[in-house]
Amino acid sequence: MRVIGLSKGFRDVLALQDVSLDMNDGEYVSIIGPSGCGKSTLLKCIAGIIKQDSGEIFIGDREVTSLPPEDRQLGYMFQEIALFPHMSVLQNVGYGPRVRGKDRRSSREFVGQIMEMARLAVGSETYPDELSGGASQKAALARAIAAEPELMLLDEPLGALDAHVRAALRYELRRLVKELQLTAIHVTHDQEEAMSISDRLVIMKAGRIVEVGTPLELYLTPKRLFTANFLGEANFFQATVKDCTAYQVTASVNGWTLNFAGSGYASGERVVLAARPESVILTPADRQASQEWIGTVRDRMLLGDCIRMEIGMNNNLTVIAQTPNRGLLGMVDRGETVRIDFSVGSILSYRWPAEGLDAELALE
Amino acid sequence: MPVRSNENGRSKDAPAGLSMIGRILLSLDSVSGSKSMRVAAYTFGILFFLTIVFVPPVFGILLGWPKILEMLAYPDLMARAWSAIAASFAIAVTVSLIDLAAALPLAWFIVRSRSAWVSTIDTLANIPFIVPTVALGYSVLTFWGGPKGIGSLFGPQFVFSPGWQMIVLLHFAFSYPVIVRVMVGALQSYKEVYETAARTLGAPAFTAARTVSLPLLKPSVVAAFLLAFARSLSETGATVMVAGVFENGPVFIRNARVAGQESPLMFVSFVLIIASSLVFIGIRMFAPRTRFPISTVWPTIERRLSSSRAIWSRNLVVFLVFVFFVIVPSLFVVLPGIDAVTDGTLQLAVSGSDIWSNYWQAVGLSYLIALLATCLNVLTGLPVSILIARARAGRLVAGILDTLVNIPIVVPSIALGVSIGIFWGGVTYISEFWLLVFAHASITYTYFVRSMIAAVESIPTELEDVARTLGARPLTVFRRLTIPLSKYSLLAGAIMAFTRSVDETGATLAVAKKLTTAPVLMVDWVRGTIPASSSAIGLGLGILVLTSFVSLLVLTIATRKM
Amino acid sequence: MTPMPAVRLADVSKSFARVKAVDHVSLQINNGEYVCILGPTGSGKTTLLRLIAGLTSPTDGNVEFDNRVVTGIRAEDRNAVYVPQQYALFPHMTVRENVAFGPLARGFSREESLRLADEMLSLVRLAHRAGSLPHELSGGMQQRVALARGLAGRSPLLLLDEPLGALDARLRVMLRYELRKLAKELAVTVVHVTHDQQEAMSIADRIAVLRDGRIEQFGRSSEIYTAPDSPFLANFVGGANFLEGTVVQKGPERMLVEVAEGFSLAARTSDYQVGEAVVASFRQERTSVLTSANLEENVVPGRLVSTSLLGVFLRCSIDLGRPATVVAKVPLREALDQRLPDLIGELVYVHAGPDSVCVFKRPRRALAVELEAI
Repeated sequence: MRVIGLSKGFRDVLALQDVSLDMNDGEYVSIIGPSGCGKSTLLKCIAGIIKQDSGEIFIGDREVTSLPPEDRQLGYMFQEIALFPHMSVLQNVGYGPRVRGKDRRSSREFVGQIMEMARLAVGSETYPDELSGGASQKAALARAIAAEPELMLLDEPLGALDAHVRAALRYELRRLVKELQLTAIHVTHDQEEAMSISDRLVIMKAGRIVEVGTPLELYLTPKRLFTANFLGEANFFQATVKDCTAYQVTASVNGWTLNFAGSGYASGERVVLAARPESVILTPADRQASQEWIGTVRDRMLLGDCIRMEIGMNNNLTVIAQTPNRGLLGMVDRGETVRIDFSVGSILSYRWPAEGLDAELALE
Repeated sequence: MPVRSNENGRSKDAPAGLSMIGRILLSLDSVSGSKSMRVAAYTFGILFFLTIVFVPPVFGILLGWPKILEMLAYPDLMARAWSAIAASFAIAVTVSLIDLAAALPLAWFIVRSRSAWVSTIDTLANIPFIVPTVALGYSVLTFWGGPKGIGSLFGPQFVFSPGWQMIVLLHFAFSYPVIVRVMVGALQSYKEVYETAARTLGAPAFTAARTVSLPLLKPSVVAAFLLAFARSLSETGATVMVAGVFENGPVFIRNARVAGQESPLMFVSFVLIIASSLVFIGIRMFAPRTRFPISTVWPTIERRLSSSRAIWSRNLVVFLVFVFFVIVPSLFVVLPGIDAVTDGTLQLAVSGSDIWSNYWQAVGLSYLIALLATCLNVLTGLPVSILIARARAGRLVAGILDTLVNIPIVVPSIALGVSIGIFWGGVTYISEFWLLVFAHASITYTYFVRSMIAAVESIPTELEDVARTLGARPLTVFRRLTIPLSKYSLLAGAIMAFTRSVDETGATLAVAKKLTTAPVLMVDWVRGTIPASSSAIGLGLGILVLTSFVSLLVLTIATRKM
Repeated sequence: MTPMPAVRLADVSKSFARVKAVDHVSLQINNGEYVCILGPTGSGKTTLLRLIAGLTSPTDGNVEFDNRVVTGIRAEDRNAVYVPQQYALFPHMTVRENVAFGPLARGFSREESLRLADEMLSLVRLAHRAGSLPHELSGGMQQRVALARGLAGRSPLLLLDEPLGALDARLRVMLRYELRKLAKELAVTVVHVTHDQQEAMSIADRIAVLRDGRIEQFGRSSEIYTAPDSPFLANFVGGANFLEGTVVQKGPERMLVEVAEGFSLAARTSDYQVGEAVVASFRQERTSVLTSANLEENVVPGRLVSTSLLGVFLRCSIDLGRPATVVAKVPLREALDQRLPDLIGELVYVHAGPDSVCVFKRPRRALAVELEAI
């Protein structure tokens, strides 16, 4: 799938601004971003549900820019699920083959196969309103697949579901898509969902593509501050560069010194540093050590698989640390004084953003 | 921790600086908290509904049972009566079906098309609403039957004479906008995502609309059909104008009244009331069970029907039908009106001389009755609407009331009037004027209540829940939430009731012996019972159109301000 | 000082037609506590909240506030504010008028109501949008207005129905801490309903897990996480691996559970007897993936089927053959150091320390049904 220079405006809002994207056959790509960033609009333009103002769209080798949705040969999963309430579940799933004039017997078999693959077992008289949230999502997926699409478009497919159903069903989505060797574009605002099942991620903000890469690349080495903030919690520090060599930078953060891997900064330059909570190492404060990077544990919270700690630093910074839950034994406690270190190579540095730090980090 | 409040968090301090009105409202608010007050308000509403709106029209006719039985002695008269009744139903069903077929595509166009013409056509589709039915009747009479109308365009062989064909043309014209309005509303609230889903699955636009949208819109289609059906069955004045010697139910009753024959009048009224109620209930019960045929698909044909050329030609045909059979006939009444300005009739009218003194009296009467009826409906209809929309007395009661509330528009208004006349006939201290007010209130009640019910139902119950937990008593919720959020529908419902009352001919014909309302007077002018020149008729009707237009303009301006 | 129960539900039941939405629920929430009611959709959480608010009446049982029975008292007199999932901001009123609605309805003067409103709006940092209409605000802002509106009247009890549900995932995480801070600052008792266990774990003093109208467990979040009462709870709150088996040995500290032909898991000892059918369960983050078998207990060979990035963890799915597929959450850095993503399809070893394995009685229904697997 290829999209070149796509733009779309609604009255006074520019939903899409010159968006271009390439996708390979069989890839599972997620487009993520905050509400209003244009990801749904992009998907709808690719589907032909909305008509773009300018740009071209290719599915496979065909140019589909001006084709109606029924001629683009895709499968679309809607956020509202949108199973036809007046037809049974089986009639829903069989709708695609039926409207294309496929004969009844073979399409019934085909539908049966797909239902089995999706692990969905329903009677012939079951109607959509009798299904649970997860089951209706699977039915919608089966219906889209039964239409034998070249490209699968998923618009917040898990949005209407409970958190734990969402977390389990997303792997099913990927399994089915990969088993059928389909190409899929999955739109969501949930970054964990996207990271866990995609081959590649596309990050969007305010109608533009911010960054593209594999989940691991974007999580560990995001090129933009917004990406760093969007994909997971991070500690952000404003710093001034004191010294910079070919591979190491020394910076001053609220009066304290920090060394980290990096290059290319000028002395005195204002930068932003980012460090994920899981890269923060806490040790009980040692009286002979330096007085820098010392703070008090303000709050300690068991999140489940992690323990989250809020540390008030002596230089007025707040640092969030997160460690995997290996038992609370040996963990620093509330009120304790600790020293903070960052694991090797975990500090990311960015030039000061042009629109200001708050605007860059804004999640809505 | 709570500041300055007593146990339930209410302010102990007498609120300082509160005006007189504020104090009254506050005490009313707390009074509304008591269950007995609320029960009283709802009971009052239901009582009014039952005693004025429902029972007299539906059951009054039974008081005339002896006279009804007299009919059995006159077989020829009976035969004529039955054929009139059959004609009513036949015309109503046919016209409504044709109207559905013709108006639905226009409604579709209005909602779905991105053309610049949409708002113009939307406004045009409202024109027949602006034109009172009596004016429409005369308009149709002169357009399809007069020398200056269709005859001048296509030749004298296309001219119709008054009779059933003209009735069909008339009913088609005035039921058309009803269907357009209902379907536009339905399409606007329809979740297009279902149709979009069908298209992404490979269905061309026509197939998607037929197999997915139409079945899901079925309740609205049935509702639109029923409204058109009821209108056709019920309309009297204009039908009388164009009927000539043909008779449908209402025309028969009117003729019987003019001839002073009580028996056939009551008989036909009785049959009409029973038959229309049964048909209405029957359709309501069986319509949900019928299914549109959606299992077969014809891919190649339907794909071709979805092409832009097919759509374009369909829209053209629909639009031509719309213009020629609805718009032009509706506006044709303007022509004789214009003559009136030039040939001196206007001065006569203004001076109030000759037939015009009666005219102005009739107009005044019409508006007074409409105003009183509407006020009664608003005051008593509000509690009943809330009772139904929020099921305050339970779902069963709400369901029953919901069905009952619809009956007055289903029953032909002239039959309703006859029944009301008989019911209150024994009660001597009700003057004819108040009889008319009650009859009009009965007929227009449904318009207001349905509008209010729809509005209240569209207010999410969470808003009320939150308001209550924030401490708002029922009257506060009503004052600060329900009314502001439904004021458009309240005003729209009131104006619909008002214009319907001004329009009403059937019930007036049945009930009034001495008083005449404006539209009834117009019928007399047109049928020649009272001689009047064509330009006088044109002017008289034109003034009615103008006043109707003004009230609808008021609605548009008021709602735009909201 | 013994904490005063701000809210007590005494054996409350609520039925609609033939469906029992709330089934004999008894709950005691203390003054100033932040309690989450956690459960899947349809478990009865919203009904429970509405019972406390007085928007619906129980079929059985009583609702008490501060040791006083309020069951018959109407919602407008209970002083317990309800904030529904979609916020239900009054669309025709400005933000300021929305927030001032509560005080005004309770009889405060107009000036006082507006003052309280402004105070609350500055607390939620929305004073600059006081004149806007609700539809002009973003999701996060609307949520804060809804909160401000609930708190302006200084009600001691706040009832929140999925307050963060309509927000983006990242916003949800950010705002949950703000929500707790605000509640604690104002010393309000909060009952917060949600289906998101991460949210409940991170924000509540105590959590009540609701299922099919019944309370499964009610306690501090750490209690429920480290000592869940049933497989359903272990799975619903935090997710875990489950292997069905039989107890073959029992000692003072350890138990052995046979989960497959010739293979047993060592677990923390518990009250089950030898021969009983049980389910052994261990948390995903306590499950490690090893590239070579050392001689520790509880090491099982399997094939690494897939890896997914969760952020802090790398989620590894390992097929153990006949027992089951097991999920391990490995901290990302460790996983990358072990090069786990490159080992897909290869033989690996799964390990869970005996202290991390706990045992439950085998449920009557099939395990998959019991866990409400999708």
